[in-house]
Amino acid sequence: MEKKGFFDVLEENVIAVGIIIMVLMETLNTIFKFLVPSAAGLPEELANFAYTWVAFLCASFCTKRGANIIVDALTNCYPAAVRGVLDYLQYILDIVMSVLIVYGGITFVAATYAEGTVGKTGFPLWIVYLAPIAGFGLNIVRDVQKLIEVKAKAKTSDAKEA
Amino acid sequence: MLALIFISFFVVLLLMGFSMTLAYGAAFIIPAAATGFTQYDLQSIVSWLCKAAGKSTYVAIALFVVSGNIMSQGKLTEQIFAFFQYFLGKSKSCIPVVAVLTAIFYGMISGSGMAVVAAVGAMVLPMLIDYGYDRAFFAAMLAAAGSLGQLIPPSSAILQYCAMAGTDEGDMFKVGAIIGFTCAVVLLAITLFHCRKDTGDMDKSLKAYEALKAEGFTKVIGTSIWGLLSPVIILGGIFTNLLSVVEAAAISVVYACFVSLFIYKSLTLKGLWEAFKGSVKNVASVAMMLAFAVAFSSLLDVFNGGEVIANAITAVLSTPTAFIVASVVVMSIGMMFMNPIAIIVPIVAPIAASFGIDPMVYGAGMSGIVAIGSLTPPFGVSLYIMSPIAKVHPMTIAKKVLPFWGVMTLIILVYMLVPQLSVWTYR
Repeated sequence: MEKKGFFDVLEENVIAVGIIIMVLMETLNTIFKFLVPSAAGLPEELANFAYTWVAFLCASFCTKRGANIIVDALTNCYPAAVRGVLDYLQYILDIVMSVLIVYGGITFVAATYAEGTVGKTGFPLWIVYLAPIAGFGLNIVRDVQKLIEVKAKAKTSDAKEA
Repeated sequence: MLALIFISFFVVLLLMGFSMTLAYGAAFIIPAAATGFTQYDLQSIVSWLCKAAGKSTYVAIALFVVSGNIMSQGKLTEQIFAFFQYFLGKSKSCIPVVAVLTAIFYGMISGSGMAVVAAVGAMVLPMLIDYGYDRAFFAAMLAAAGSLGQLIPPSSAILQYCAMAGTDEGDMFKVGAIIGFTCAVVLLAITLFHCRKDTGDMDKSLKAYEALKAEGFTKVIGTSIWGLLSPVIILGGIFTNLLSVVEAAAISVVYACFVSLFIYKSLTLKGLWEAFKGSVKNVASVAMMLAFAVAFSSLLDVFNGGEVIANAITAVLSTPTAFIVASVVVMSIGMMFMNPIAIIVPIVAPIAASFGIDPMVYGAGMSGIVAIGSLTPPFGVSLYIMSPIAKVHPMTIAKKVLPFWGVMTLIILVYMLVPQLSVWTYR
C-alpha cells in the first residue's frame, strides 16, 4: 500500500485531534459542573472553539476526498463535453469562493485582533477566527490539486480515444 | 435581492451540480457583490459563519457520530443486539423493530434529531446490513425515526420555538410527545409490514439465536450489560438534568472508549485512533454545510426576508385552516434548504394567535415539521448523515424516506387541524 505523506493526511489528523479535544473539554466541563461549578462553561467554550476549527478544515477535507454533498440528478443527464467543462468550473469557482472567504477572514481577524475581543475563558477570539483562513486557504491548495487531477484524467481519456 | 439569493443557490446546486457548500457560497457572495458590498461584506459573511459554526449542538452531533463509531467498532452494539436477540431472536422482524425502537429511544434522550440519526445510524445500521436487510429502506427508516428526536421531549425544536414565541415549553412538550409517539407507532407498524417480505438472512439470525441460547442467560447479560448501560447513562444523565445533551455525548464517547479498551478489549489504542479518524468523513460531510445553513438566516435578515414573508401570508390567507395548511407547506418547503424556524416563528406565531389557533398545538406541530424537515432533499441533513454510513446515495435514501415523511406530515397536520386530539394533555 502506498504510504501517504504528512500533507496528504493533514486534515483528517488535525480534525481527529480536534474531535478528541472536544471530547476532553466536554468531559472536563461535566466534572467541573459538579466539583468546581464556577469554572463550568469554560471548557465547553474551548470545545466550541475546537469545533469551529474542525468545521472549516472540513471544507478542505471534503474537497480533497470528494466528500462534498452534491445534487447531480440533473447534471448526470448533460452531454459528456458539458460535464467535462463543469468538472473544471467547479474547482475554479471553489477557488474564487475560497479566496474571497480567506480575504473576508483576514479582515475579520484583523478587526477582532484590534478590538482585543476574548471569550469567557479569556481565550483571544482572533485565534478562533483564523479557522476560515486556514480551512479555505487549504481548500485552495486542494482545489488546485483536483484541477491537476481532472486535467490528467482528461489527457488519459483523450489518449485512449486516439 | 431575495430572488437573487435563491436563484444563485439553485443554479449552482441544481443546474451546475456543484457542492452544497459552493451553492451556499454563491448565495452569500453574489448578492453582496450585486449590491457593491454596501448591505454586507465578506467580513460579515465570515463572522456569520464563525458564529454559526461554534455551537454546542454541532459539537454534540460530532461526538454522537464518534461514540456511535466507537461503539460499533468496539463491539458494544453487537452486545446490545445480542441481548435483544436472546429474547426476541426467533421473530423475523426482531432486529429491525429493535433498531427502530432504539432510534426512537435515543430520540427521547438526546433532543437533537440529527444527533440521533448520527448516533443510531452509525450504531445499528451496519448490523441491519450485516443481517441482510434492505439497506436503503432501513437507512430511510432510521433517519425518519431518529428525526422524531426533535419532536419527542426533550425537543430542541420545541425549545427554540418557545423561546421565540414566548410560550410555555412544558405544555408544548406534552402535545409534542403525543404527536411524536403517534408518528413513532406508525413507523413501527410500517417496519413490521415491511418485514413480512424483507426477512433478512433468517438462517444467520437463527444460528446467532441458537448460539446465544447455548451461552445461557447469565453470560449474555454479564457481557451485554456494559453495552446496555450506554443509553441508560445518556438517558439518566439528561432526564435527571445532570447532563446537557453535549455533555452526555462526550460521556458516551468516554464510556465507549473505556468499555472497548478495558472491558471488551475489542480495541487497541491504535484501533481507537483509527475509529476517531474513521469518524472524520461522517463529521466533515455536514460540518461546513451546517455552518452555512445556520448563517443563511442572518443573510435573509439583511434583506428583511421575514417581513416579506409576513406580508405575503396576511395578504393571501383569511381562515385558520388555510393559515395552518399554508404554515405547514411554507415550513416544509423552507426545511428543504435550511432551518427557517428563526425567521418564520416570530412572524407566524402572532398571526396564529390572532386567528384563535391553540398556540401549544400550533407550536408543537410546527416544531414537528422542523423535526421531520431534516429528511427532505435537497438539503435534508439526515439524508447526508445517513448516506456515508449506509454507503447509499442521499437521493436514493430520499426516495425511500419521502413516503415516511408524507405520512408524518399528514399526522402532524391532522393534529394541528383537530386540536381536540391533543389539548387534553395540558388542559
